[in-house]
Amino acid sequence: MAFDVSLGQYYEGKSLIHKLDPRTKLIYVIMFMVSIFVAKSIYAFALLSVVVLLTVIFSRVPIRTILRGLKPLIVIVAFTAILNIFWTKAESDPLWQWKFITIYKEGLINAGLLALRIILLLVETTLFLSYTTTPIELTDGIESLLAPLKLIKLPVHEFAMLMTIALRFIPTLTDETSKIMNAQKARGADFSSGGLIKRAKALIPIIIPLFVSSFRRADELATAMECRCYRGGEGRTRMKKLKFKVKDVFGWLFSIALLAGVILMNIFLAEYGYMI
Amino acid sequence: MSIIELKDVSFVYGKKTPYEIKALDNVSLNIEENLITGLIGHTGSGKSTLVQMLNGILKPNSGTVIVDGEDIWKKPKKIASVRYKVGMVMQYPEYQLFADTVKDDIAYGPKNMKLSAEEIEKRVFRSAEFCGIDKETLEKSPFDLSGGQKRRVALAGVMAMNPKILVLDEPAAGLDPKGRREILGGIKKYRDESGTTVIIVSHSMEDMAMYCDRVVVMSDSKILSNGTCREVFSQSQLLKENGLDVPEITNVVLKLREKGINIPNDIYTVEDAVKAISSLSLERRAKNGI
Amino acid sequence: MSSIIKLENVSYKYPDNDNLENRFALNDLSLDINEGEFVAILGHNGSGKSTAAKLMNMILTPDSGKIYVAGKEISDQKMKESEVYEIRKNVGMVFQNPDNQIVATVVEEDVAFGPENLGVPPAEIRQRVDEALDIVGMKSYARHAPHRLSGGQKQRVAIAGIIAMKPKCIIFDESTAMLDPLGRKEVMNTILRLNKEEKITIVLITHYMNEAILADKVVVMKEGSKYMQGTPNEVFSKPEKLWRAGLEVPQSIELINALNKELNLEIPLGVYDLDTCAELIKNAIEK
Repeated sequence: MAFDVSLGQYYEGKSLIHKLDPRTKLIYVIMFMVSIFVAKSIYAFALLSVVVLLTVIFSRVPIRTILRGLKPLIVIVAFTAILNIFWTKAESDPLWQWKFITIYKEGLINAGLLALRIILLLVETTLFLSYTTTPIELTDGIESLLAPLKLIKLPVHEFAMLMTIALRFIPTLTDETSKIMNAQKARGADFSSGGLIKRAKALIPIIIPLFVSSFRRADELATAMECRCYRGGEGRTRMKKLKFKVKDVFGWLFSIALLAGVILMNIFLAEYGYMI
Repeated sequence: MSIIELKDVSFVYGKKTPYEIKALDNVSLNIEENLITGLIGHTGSGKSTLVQMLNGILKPNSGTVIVDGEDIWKKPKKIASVRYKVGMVMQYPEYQLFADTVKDDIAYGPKNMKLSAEEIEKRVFRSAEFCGIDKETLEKSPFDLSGGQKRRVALAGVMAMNPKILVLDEPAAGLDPKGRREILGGIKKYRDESGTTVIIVSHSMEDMAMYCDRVVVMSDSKILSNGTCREVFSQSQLLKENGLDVPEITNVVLKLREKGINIPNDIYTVEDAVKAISSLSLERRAKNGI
Repeated sequence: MSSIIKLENVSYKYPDNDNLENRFALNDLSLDINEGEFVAILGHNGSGKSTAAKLMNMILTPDSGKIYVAGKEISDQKMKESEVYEIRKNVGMVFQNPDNQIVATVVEEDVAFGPENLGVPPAEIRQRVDEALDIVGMKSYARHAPHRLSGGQKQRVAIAGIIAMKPKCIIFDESTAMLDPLGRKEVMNTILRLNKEEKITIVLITHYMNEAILADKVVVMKEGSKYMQGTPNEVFSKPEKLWRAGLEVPQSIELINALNKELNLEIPLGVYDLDTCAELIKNAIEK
């Protein structure tokens, strides 16, 4: 299926995680991030891994889908991990030495834990904010969470509106781009040969019409919005109000418990685990 | 003689996904040289896909596309050269304009063909004339023109490439009646003078009847009917069964036949209808000795 | 019948005169649109018909002349913002390009956009959205993404978005121009239903004469002024006059007109269905 930006990577489902309020999910993801970064004890990592595994199972999003989503990022994770191996300097005897490259045991462990951190973080973030939440829910959630910032005159509503409109128009503009490309190809345009400068120049007949049409669209959309009495966030109501339910309370409690658990493990189980 | 030949062409969008859509189903079609062929059918009937087969923007899943005696997919790397032979004017072509002046925009195609400066100049003026663009307008920015004028500039840009075959997807969409007549009339005049083969995709039966020599009707990824206007529009029953219609004038003529007036059933322009009814009436008057 | 929109000697000139598209403005236009009426404004491109529409809900303000909506003068430059929105709530507008008037990524969210802006309570918005989608026949698409719909469906969603604001009058500014025949039919059927069943006043701006024929009243514009006005029957029975305005008439009228001249007949010109048209011709030539 073609990537549909209005749904993102949304995986239709009715699991507990799908049904959580987007704000709860945002709070949980933030707590999870903090937990991942404060985690030091190897037991804490074990706990976080188990949590990730359980949430994946709970969400009923196929593990294969999630792994496929990770694929393009594996190279970056591996690269960062390898750099870490070489950069770690320790007191202990080196495992292996060749010219200026020295590898220590600590380096290997560090690299492994770093890779684990990044992977856990990626899986949990995409699971909660992408696979089980539509972009529109996410936007609503962000707008609602940031609402207090309106007090210091930050344009929170405008930001959310901007995101919605961008999501709405990306497919339209993608279509338009391919139409314009076909039209210029029909006039003999060549986008795939020549050096960098020649190729960049060949894009002008696409970029200019695309800009002109985007401005025209923006102008027409603005008029249409005004005709529908849009005047910013003030005095505006919403058809669907976000409402916390009982399960959201459990969500918050779980988030707090997770962070607390990780901190406690850092303190009390330090001697049993590897500390970094 | 046919200049385009489609042999058993099939095409499927999103092949091997749950969203598979069959757009062309074993279509075979010949397009005659020097004629204006109208291509008609509902949205989703496969006509846009068919048109994109002709200049190699889409590649058939099976079957061959022969343009001017050559299988266009024989050397896939040379597919771009087909685009000089088959000029394509897309829907709402005014949205593809980009250059600083109308002249430069029309010259874009010929420049890509690496023609000499003199030849480019000659072609720009010639095609501008066909499309009713005056010298003064040539120096203007295309973005300062009215919608109808922009459309004509885009059309001139493709004509300037001197294609053997000119394909137009709804060239008159969104124009008022006068604008429609001007642009379609201009295309007919261009064919008369240059001998180019023209294919027009349209939704308007009346326009087809007025400007086309032959009509191809598509329905459900297949060709439903193919022939001269006279042949196609006399199949009103078949067209109506497939949710299409015949020109209003043909419907009036059919009603007259129902009422016992002895008038041929293959009339598709007002002019012909007036002639047929007049001669009937004059005959009757002569018979009654008026 | 009370008038809902009234234009009195309205003139308008676009500030940017070099732009050819905007060269034509309005010149001393007077117009009356009555409550519950279906009025078609017909004219060639650039005849000023869209400008007239934009004046009716305050997208533009006239250089001179007066405009009244539901008895209230709106040509006054010093109107309060809240009053402007009151006018726009009552006079909704559907534009030409369906893509450029849909705001949200889900159909029902888009329909809710207008009532949300008006500050309608959530439960009532829900009800209005369901009703509006039902009227335009798009209820089963409520959770769909707009960009996956056909042109006619998108335009119906846009109409639902206006209906949900409960306007007294809806202006259609060439809303069928970019659609295929099926889409056009869908939208025209919706417009007729709004007028007949929901009693909403309709102003339809178009250059398709077969759409104008369905109206109660047709106004023909030419070069910024009113050129003709009357019932469809009155307007379309003057083919020569319409041709001079760059417009056309149905082929049946063209045929009768030509036969009258060719054979010295006196078949009355008018908007007929096929049967009546054929009957009239038959009687005339068999006389």
